Amino acid sequence: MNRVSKCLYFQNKNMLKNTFLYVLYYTLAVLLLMLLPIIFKGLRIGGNAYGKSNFYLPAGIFTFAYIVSTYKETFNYLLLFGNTRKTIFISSIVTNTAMSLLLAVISLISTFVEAPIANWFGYDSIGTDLLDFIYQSNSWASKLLFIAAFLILLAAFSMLYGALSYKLGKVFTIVFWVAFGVAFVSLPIVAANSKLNFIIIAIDLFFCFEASNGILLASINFILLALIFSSLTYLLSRRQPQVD
Amino acid sequence: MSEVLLETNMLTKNYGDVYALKDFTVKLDCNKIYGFLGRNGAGKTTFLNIVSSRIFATDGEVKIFGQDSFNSQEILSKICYMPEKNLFIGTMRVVEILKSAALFYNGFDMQYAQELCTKFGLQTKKKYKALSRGYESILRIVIGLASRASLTIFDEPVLGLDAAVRDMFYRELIEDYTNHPRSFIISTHLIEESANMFEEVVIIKEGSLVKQLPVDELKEMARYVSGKAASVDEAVAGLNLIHSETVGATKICAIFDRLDDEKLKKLTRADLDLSPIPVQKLFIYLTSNN
Repeated sequence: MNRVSKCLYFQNKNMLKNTFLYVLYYTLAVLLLMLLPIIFKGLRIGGNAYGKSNFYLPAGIFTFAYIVSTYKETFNYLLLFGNTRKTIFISSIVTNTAMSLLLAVISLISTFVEAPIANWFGYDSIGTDLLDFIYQSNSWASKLLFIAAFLILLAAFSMLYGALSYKLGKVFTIVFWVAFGVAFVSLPIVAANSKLNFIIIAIDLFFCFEASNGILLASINFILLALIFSSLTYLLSRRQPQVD
Repeated sequence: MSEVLLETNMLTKNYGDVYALKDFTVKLDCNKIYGFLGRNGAGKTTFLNIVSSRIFATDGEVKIFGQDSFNSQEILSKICYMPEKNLFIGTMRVVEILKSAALFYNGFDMQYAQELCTKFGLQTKKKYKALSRGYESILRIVIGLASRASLTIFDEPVLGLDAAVRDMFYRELIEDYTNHPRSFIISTHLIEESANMFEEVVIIKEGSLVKQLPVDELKEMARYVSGKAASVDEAVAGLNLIHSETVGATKICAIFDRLDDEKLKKLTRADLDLSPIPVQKLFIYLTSNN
């Protein structure tokens, strides 16, 4: 086994264990929420409706949280055992891509199984899948591609965040979250201001909301941006001194 | 002639105006135990971090086994560096850490590691974050010894260990080194008790090399000369004087010099007392700013 394979083995083992636990706890939480109104019949307010869970959104949050929280300790640990930065980078990219694909498959499966389960509990499964709402005429294959690309982009962004946070420390974390909060709050204002609506146009172009094959084109954009993020991460980490 | 383990040339590491290492040039041979000695902030850990590619030198070069070690997977695979700082994952159990060490070091002897854990009383089911400072050091010792890496580096390996456990470590290291000869670099502040373990010592002061000598030679070169001030002054004239003090009419001088027969004859006089300098004291004299 070469060094990349060894790092992959180590990282994949941890990733699979944590992903499995996350999916398990998430599923149990959903089942518990479904059971609560049945146990406490008085809580069943507003009929028997059950909305789509859109699992890929919490999966995205998990991807970000997992990669960011493990970046430093994994980097230091693998460096300690005589692995080069390049080896660590390659194994991290492969592991994160594998995690994204795994979560994408689970997300797709969840769209098929959640309606029958909800029905079995006595709920009427209602609501639309967010992807069906945004993009028209989607096959399950195009949805899988979109979710996988979306999670790969998030994973690449999370690695870049981790690398910047490792390099710059708390300063980066504070600046990032303040900027994120300001952007989040100001986006509706920007949308309403005709002079600044190029930002909205850029978002629209990136997500290809208007295009007929928008879901596929957006997926390609996600992958391209993920490649840019990953390249930046490599440039940052290849001469990164160890931080205790 | 023994094979060269490590060679640095004008190695420099600075943080702005502060130099952690300055034009540090050293050459180490394979299959020896080296002691790296220096006061706090002398540059020992910086040197070890550069050798193991944890940090990068500002200038100069490092060659390990004849190759540039900078980010070289081939070279880094041969080095087991157990730093003073905590770099293990706190939620991992000791046994899991040992398994990952076995994954990364081809020569890792898991059976020996288990034996060492038993010998040192390290519970392998415990999580790393639950270990005391002493047991953290023991885990590093276990991995360093069981890795059987071509070059094993220990930075302050006995931190938090009591005298009995420290003694066990020294014995274990010597025994394992005898059975499986390889190279060790050990940085420590506990000079007196670990001096017998080293074959050579490298003394660093303010980022520069002060001395690199075999321990036996180091001990031979260091002598206290005491007696009446005038006699002592006359006897030590022309020798490398590293310390002197006067107590009443008696003067004590510490010399550090290669003593040939002629020089030794000059010192072995009836009115002078010649005695060895403990290694710890010698280290203080050599690294003192006074």
